[in-house]
Amino acid sequence: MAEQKHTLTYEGNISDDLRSFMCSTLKQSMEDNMPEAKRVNKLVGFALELLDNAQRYGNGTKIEFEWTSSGNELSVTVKNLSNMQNAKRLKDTVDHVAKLNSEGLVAEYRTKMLDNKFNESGGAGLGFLQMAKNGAKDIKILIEDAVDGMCICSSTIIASIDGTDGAFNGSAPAQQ
Amino acid sequence: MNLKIEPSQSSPLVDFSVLRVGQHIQGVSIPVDAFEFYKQIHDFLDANESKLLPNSEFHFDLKYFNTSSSKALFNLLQRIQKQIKEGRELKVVWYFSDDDDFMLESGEEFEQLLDASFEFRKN
Repeated sequence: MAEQKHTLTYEGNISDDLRSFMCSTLKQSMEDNMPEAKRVNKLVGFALELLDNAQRYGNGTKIEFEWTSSGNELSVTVKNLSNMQNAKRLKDTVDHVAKLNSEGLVAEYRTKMLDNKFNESGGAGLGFLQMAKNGAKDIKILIEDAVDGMCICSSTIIASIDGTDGAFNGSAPAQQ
Repeated sequence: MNLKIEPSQSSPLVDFSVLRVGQHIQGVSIPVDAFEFYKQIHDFLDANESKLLPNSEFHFDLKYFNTSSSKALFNLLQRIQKQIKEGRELKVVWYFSDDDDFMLESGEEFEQLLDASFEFRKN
């Protein structure tokens, strides 16, 4: 029997209301299609974090979003224009998270939650730690040069839908 | 002396009052700048914390939240827990749904990080 594949794509501007609408749509779609819905909020949370980043760093420009579930695998990709500095910081964060084992992830999460810092960009790198902790198998950040010191930052997260095989593998080799 | 923020697509209802026991945060919390949103609650507490009823209950009834909100919620819980450790009989009530791992695990994680004791309620 062929594996069921569901894809949702979006291209355009991003706002709080649109993120909320996309999350509700994804949540409803997952709940309708998954026999076991306990992980729905975690899976939708992956998309939400990537969309948060795109809205925060995208300077009001258009984004591309793709959500694909196929069999037991979920892949979410968000592509947005960003300044190079922010994109590199994002990639450095993912590379750092990739080096942590499960105990390291928990310890770092604990430290960041307790440190009382809240940087101007929001979660102080908590998002990727949270995703790795919540069963992401892989997170990739690809950076392509654009004009005027800007770049196209493409963030992809891969996760198993039922939460099995959820060990985080870290970032794929950089492709810049 | 109350704080009422109506819910939006990306932020929860906030309903705090010094005149009653129950203080409520309810709905979805996914603002990009959660710090700015939750600052309103901190500002209210800065001015009114000592006036809250001694047995005040803080009800966190959220459907889901983003990481930025997670840190902001934690900061708020930290503040409440500090008051409890100083002897006030405040209570944190954390709501979760049976069919959602995320809310229950998040509440348990916050409870553990704060060395606190929440009341967990199914909704």
